[in-house]
Amino acid sequence: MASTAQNALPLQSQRLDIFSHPTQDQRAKDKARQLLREILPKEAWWELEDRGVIKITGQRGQYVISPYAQTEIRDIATGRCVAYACLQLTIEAPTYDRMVAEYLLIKNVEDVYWKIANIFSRSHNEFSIAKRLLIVLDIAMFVNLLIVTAR
Amino acid sequence: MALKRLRMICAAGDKTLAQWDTETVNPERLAEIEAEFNKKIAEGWLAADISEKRDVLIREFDPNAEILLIPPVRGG
Repeated sequence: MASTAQNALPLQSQRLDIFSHPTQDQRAKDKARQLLREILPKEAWWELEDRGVIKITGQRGQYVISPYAQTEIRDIATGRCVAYACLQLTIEAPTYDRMVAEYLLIKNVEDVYWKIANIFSRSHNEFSIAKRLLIVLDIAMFVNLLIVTAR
Repeated sequence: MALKRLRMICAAGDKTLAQWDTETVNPERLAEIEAEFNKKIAEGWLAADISEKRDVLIREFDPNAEILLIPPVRGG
């Protein structure tokens, strides 16, 4: 029994090693996050720490840049999301580096950002043909259900 | 002493291409760094002066700036 426990110890320390040394990806992510911290104003950094997003207001809207989702473009007056933007780096890099690029582009050359990024209007997608067809189908099935149960 | 760096975004987060002391760097070394900067700009990279959160895009090399090179971007 004791020998079994002793044998298990090296394994345990090996497992601890795996978890205590960050992987290359994790190191890159940490470095990119640190770079973003260097660049962002303090308030924007706190917002990222607190809510997980960067907010920047431009001439054409307010942008909510997230590490995990497409950038939201909101109406400045109402705060309503009006579109989503998608921008990528042409090299493989951590997501925080993409956030650095988006932040600097929006801050300096917002119009160029609109030309390069793919912008998807939210109102356009809200009731697309597919969604309308699904709604009609749902209503038809519901009516059918009512007829069947009434018989 | 004022240390400045030319950094670029890469798969490892970012890496330093050059580092110099604005007071002691010799003109030849500065010309080399500027040539490297210009090469990246010609390839479509963007450059930003990020010293003290200035965060402005630049087109010309500034030896007094902390410079970050950003790879070309495209719609996703």
